[in-house]
Amino acid sequence: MMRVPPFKYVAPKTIAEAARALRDAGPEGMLLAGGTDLLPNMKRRQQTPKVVIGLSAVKDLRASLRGADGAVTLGAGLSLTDTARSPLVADAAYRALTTAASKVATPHIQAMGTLGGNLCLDTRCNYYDQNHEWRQAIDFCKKAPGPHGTAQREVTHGTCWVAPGSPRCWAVSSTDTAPALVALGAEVTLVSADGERRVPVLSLYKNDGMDYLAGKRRDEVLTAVHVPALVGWRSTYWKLRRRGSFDFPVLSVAAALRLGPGGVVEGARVTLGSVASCPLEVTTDALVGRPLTDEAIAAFADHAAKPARPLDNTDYHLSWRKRVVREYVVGALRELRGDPPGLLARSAARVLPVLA
Amino acid sequence: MSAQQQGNGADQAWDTGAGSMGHYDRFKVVNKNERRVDALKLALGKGTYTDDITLPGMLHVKMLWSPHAHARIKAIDTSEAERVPGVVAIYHCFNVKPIRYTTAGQGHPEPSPYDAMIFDPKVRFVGDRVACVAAEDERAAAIAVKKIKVDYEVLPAVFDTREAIAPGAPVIHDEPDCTGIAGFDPKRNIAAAMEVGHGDTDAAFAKADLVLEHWYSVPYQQHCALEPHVAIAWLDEDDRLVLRCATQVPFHSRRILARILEIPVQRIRVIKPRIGGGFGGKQEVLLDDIPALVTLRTRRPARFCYTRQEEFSSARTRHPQRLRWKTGVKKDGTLVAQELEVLANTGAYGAHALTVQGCTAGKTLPLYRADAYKFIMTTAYTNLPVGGAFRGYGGPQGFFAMEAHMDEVADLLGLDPAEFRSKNILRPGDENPLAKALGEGKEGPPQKIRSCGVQECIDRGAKAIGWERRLSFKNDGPIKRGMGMTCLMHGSGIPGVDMAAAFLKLNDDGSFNLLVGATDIGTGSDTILAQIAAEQLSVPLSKIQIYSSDTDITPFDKGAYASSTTYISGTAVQKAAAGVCEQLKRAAAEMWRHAGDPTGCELDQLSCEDQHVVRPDGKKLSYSEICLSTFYEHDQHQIMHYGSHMSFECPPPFSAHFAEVEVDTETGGVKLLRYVAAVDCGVAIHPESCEGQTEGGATTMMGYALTEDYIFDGNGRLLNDTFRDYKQFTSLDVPDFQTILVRTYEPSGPFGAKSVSEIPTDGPGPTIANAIAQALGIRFRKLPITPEEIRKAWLEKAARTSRQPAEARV
Ligand SMILES: Cc1cc2nc3c(=O)[nH]c(=O)nc-3n(C[C@H](O)[C@H](O)[C@H](O)COP(=O)(O)OP(=O)(O)OC[C@H]3O[C@@H](n4cnc5c(N)ncnc54)[C@H](O)[C@@H]3O)c2cc1C
Ligand code: SF4
Repeated sequence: MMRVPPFKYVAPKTIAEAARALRDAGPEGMLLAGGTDLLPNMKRRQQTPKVVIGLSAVKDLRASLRGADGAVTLGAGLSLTDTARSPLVADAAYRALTTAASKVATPHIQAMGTLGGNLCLDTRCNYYDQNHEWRQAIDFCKKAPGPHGTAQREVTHGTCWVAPGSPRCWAVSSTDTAPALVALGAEVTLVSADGERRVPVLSLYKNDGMDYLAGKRRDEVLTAVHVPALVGWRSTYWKLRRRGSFDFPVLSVAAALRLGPGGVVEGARVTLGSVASCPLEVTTDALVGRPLTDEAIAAFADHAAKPARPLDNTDYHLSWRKRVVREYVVGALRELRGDPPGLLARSAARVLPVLA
Repeated sequence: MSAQQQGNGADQAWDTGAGSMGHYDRFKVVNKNERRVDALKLALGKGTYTDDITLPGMLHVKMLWSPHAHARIKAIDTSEAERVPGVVAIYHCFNVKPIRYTTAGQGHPEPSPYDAMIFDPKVRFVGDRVACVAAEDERAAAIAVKKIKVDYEVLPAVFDTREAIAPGAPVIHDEPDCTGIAGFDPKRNIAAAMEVGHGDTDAAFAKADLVLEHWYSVPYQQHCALEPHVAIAWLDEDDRLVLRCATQVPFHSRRILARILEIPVQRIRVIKPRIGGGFGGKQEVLLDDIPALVTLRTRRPARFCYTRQEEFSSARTRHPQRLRWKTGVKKDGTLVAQELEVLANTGAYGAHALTVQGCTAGKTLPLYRADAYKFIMTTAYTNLPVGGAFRGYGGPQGFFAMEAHMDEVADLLGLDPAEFRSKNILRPGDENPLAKALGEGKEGPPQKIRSCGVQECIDRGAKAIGWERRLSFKNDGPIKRGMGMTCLMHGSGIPGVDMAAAFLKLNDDGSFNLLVGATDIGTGSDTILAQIAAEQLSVPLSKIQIYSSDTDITPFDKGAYASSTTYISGTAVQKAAAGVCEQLKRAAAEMWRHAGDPTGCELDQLSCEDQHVVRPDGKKLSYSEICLSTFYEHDQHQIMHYGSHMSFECPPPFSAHFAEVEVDTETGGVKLLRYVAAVDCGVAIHPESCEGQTEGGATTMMGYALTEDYIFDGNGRLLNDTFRDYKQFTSLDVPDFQTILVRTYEPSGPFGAKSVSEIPTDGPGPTIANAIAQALGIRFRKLPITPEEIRKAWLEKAARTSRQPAEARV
């Protein structure tokens, strides 16, 4: 039986109140948005905040708008369903984001889960995402129970069961929207009791299964996501999981592209998800300034697959997961090039669903 | 061609079903999609399940499960646990009487080894029972469970069946008092074994032009019924034990509990409320004993409900098997010999060990004619989760091996898989060669096939999917398309064993109470049985008030298993209704005679039509008038009748499944595009339910083919014991699905019906494997077929073909 441990609940109405409450609670406090990640984690005693600060009454977190420059701001409190359906991001340029949001978990969870919660999602590992008794039986691991990310930075004892002897934790960054937003060049606003700052999405993360949110201070609330106007861009998101629903990504490829006259690549951004403890951005210099030929795609895919170092801590064999990175990069780029969807959809096998 | 073949060998004395088609036009209630009797209450959220009630003073039970795969319990210290506020009682092997039994919910005497106890001083798998705590609330019980200190002597464990039966393996059941039948040899970790056959296989193989032999293997599978196992016990005002539980076998449960709790059957009442799915997992006295024990000892109501994780680790599973299939065949494609060897894993206890494995042969081998058959079976104990009954009951394992194998044979002979099957498939009038040898724990009665629509299943299924398209798949890119098919058969009840009874009485308004022992576990059997009664009585379905499965109130029924409810319980209902019709006629005749109008009142002149008894001259009396008269006026008595039914026959339903897949050779991913299941279940009493059974049964097994498996660590601990990590198919994974109901008429069944519920589970494993084999030219002999395996096999094949490009033949 899994029940949440006792906690004190605070329900601020404004962003400022939320930030103050978070500061006041200190290391014992955590924010609760949709709760689809935090509550299961609390039941499993992976995260045990004494003070839970609920964000559902903070209306400002759900505000979204398009600025004069065409850039779009999405409130961190928007549900994933609303994110996927938002008219502000209906353009093909933002398809990576809308596809990613609509492929999180299940429709029910998308209705509850928020964009901000998705960006702050805990990292995952087969040895960690188990209930307390289970983990107790293997004597826990480095990513020991304790309040989330920040507080865990101090915890260093324990073994990593995936890579024994390794100094770090290799739990996997499993958020769907982060790689998509990185590929779109998005930024986020972080608000604390002493001020506000805006940083690129990628800078939130560190390649460390425990300290994955190193770029955000513990007392900061993520309030909004800013996606630049992407005139002439197209983007897509390919997600690998065993089933057509429910499953976390075990690999994802977010790609954004701007093609100029003659099919020459003017701009390209490719991000891999779920192959490390943070999203990995792939350098695209080799693509830019040249037409997107089969050869160019193949060479780029080989290059992109290199930094992916999956470990044996998610679904599927790691060698196979490493191997299909290449195929997924090829598929995503070919889709953006405009190859007939029939051909592409086919590799989106049901057991490996990819396209929306 | 099919008509000719059906005539072939058919014994004219037998009704092949074809001549009985006229029945279909006369049906008024059966073979119609009536509204299910429970539809409205379920839609309104009123269906009360076991756990929907709570009783004053009810205790909650939590179990301490073994963390070790194999250990002896030397001592248990509960002193700290007892101090947890709210804890009322703690039970374990040192304070509960040791009585050996089997948890298998089978008929008496159960053909499974008596190797379990309520609490055993030895634990045999991670997830075995150690001790239970009863407390005022679930939380206190859970806290106390963690404070129980157990001194274990950890023993060496064995996880592999071949190692388990090898000399020197740790003996899992070394206790002197365990008993079993059929090859039971606990010293060698053998829960059941048998070797049976028909004809001379050596001679038959010698005659063959081609002999092919391969090993196959199939994994664990979990039922995943949405409602977990749950039971609530209390003492009624007469101090009798009442048990309300999610069970498929209320009467077996009562009988088995009486023995292990040492109280008379008379002192126990088992009530089956609404059930949220069973699929065989609840054909088991899995947890009923625990709340019953707590209630008897504390005299307070008690509740025990499994969590989902407990369902995975501590409930029952589909037995994993390794299978060796060997066939001898003539050049022209005539099968002459079949041999099957099964090495099964029953885990720590032998629940259904003999009978599931028996069905692996019994449901499969007789489907194709041959001169001789042999079946060799060993079911091994291991220190892993326990096998049990699971929809299909050994069939899915056997059909995976057989139907994959048949494709391999057809391939080698260069024959179309459908034609090859048609050539060898059994025909109406054929005798089941293995029926006698494979009875349920005893000799089985002979079986002759009467209704058989398998050829029509093949023909119509092939047409629906476009079978001939498979010859024109281009497959020149990285995505390969393939199509596969299989033929299947199952049974309808356990012949000579299964018995069911029904009781029917007439009410003032011409309605009827139908009391059945049959156990609707979500299958719709309440509706089907009511339809059968309504048809026989000539009343609308709404006139039947059905109540099922309460051991105090309804007559006996073996329970919901072995695809027996429609065929066995349905016939009992039909008999009861026929008896009531007789009484209605008799009472009507007496009414007319009493009124001085006796012409045309001989019983054989009267008929029951549209809620009336009708005379040849058109005069009629309504059932309501008859009831009022017999209650209050003349010849006073209650019109009521019962029916019991047991059948020595077990008419198989038949089916042909077809699948179309795409395989991505670059990733190994499989996409199921289309699935067609054509089924001959005799007369479909409720066609939509038959379609639902077929879709549900097949969908369950698509995961078995592609995604589901139990993953253990090196110490026998289950790693994927959640819905998150155990990859059942979701609605998005299910392909286009078409069910075709082929019309036949089974003369021995109620209104021509046979069974439908298990046969669809036999198909997807081999059908999908065959489709993948056609797509890639690679045969996978192990389930599940994962992208990793496909990718690996494809690369190996590519390496092979590039080494020897000329003669490469796959
Ligand atoms: C069965 C299942 C399947 C899932 N599958 C997927 C999947 O496929 N892909 C995927 O990406 N996720 C998946 N999830 C995880 C989760 O549902 C989503 O990531 C969801 O978007 C989380 O959002 P939330 O609002 O529910 O977050 P919460 O649970 O409320 O919070 C998650 C974390 O973010 C922090 N947080 C929340 N809001 C803020 C904020 N405004 N500022 C700062 N910190 C904040 C919380 O403190 C917490 O640490 C799955 C979950 C389940 C239960
Ligand atoms: S990667 Fe290692 S340390 Fe991190 S959660 Fe998994 S087992 Fe624990």
